[in-house]
Amino acid sequence: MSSLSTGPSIKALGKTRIGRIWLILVVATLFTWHFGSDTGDRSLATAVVIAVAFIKIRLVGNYFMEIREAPAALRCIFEGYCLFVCAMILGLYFLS
Amino acid sequence: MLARMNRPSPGSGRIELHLPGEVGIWVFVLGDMAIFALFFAAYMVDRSVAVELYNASQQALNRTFGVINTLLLLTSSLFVVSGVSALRAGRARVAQRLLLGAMLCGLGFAVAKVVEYGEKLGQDITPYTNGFYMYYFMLTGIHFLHLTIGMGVLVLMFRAARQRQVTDEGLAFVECGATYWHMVDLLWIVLFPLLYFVR
Amino acid sequence: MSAVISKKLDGASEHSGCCAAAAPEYQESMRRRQLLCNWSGPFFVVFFFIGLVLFMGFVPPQSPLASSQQIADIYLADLTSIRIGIVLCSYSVALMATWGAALAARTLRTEREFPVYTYTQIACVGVGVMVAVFCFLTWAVAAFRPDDVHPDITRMLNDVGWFLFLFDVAPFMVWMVAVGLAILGNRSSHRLMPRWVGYFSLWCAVGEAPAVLILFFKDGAFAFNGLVGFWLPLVAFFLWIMVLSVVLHQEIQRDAVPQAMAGRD
Repeated sequence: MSSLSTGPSIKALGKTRIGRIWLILVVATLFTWHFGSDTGDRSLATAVVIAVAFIKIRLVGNYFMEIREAPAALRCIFEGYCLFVCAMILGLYFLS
Repeated sequence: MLARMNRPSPGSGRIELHLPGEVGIWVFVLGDMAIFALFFAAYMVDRSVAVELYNASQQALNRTFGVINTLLLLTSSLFVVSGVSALRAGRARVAQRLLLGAMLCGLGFAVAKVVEYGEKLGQDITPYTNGFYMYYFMLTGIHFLHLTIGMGVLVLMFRAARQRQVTDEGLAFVECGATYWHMVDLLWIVLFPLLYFVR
Repeated sequence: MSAVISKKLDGASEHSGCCAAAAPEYQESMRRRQLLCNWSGPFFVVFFFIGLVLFMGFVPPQSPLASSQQIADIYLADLTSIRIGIVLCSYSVALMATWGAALAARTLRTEREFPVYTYTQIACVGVGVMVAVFCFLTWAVAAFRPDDVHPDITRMLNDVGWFLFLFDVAPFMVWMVAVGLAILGNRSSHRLMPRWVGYFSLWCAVGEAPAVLILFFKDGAFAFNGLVGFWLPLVAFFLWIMVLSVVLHQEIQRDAVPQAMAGRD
């Protein structure tokens, strides 16, 4: 962890689980940027970008906020929230 | 409903169910997430009656700002996670430096946001321009308010990490603050594609 | 963290101090007095909504885009019913004072020497009652002679009423934050309320905050008939009153339990 404070290198980050999660999140963000800017099939791009966003918040919740290790009730509420809000956004998108 | 869970006692060897900080903070965090879910729904509903307008307006947004801000918040969250685990391991000095890093990323986010707002206002785009920009300014503005509160919380967390002896109570405060900061990150992760990419 | 809390609970049994020595009749009268004041919270909510929804028909609010004539017509169509609703609401909001006192009395016990959060609450409740009474007073004037004045005047009074209803959330937010901080910061030997109620109060304060946006928009979610301008602050405030009434009721009842048992969780 101290290597983080002195000078984070990608290699050092890859060694810790939390660092790997961060790398995945960064790659997902760059993917969103690239894929979301695509002018081809907008419906597909939107669906993918929103799905990726909810995968990202699940990673933030489970690993950064440590919901993964939390009591079942909180885990259920959080997963339910992700599922519900994702379905709501996509549902309203495709209905319009 | 949620029983208070204790941190696994050091050396117990097995990982027990636990929550960082205390259960109560989740009343606030989930409540806030519910409010933002309401915002997302309102945005999507109003968008559905003026799809063309929203799509055209969105083109004027500078996506680079959105990406930079997302990366800054993700990195600040990484700093906070590492800071909390350093503090748990009793390495207060490392934790302080990591929390400072998180604050710098938060500050970077604020600066980028102000520049982005300035760019829009410079093009005579305001919250009154149309429905899309009303949501763009209001949702990012309300999120910005959360970030500002979060910066204050980070300062308090830094102070708690600087105590000569970090108590259980101090650590619980830092963990609650970390949970709040991650929520600010989490909400932005949804706002970012919603405003910049849903077309 | 849990160690701190259990220590506090242990402390409660040995720190019965001033009150334990008092006669049981006195304690019983104190308990009843608190329960009475606490019940004024739910009564306030019930009569308020009967007045606002059933008699005045102001939920959902009129559109900020409505013309003066449309607003005047709304008043003229149901004048008596609106007047009865206004009277009901204007009486019920005064109950905020008694309920606020029941709440402040509990926090006072935990900060006997320097009751800053208690004073903050008292100040905010005072301002809050005044603002709420003025809100219905303004609508009362609008409903006084809408047949005789220009519709522009009726619409303006109607607008002022909604701004008094929604825009001045700040004292209510400070009230909620004061209660939240009093709960979360309680280091006295007395019970106050479960800690989640502290976080809940802070969340309600955040939920109230966007009501000020009604100044900027006449249409959409942030206007005074919108999801964020009207519904969110309304739900946050009345949910807060209801939830805290229930918790307060339980806390007041717990005082009657013999101290030795009250110490146990």
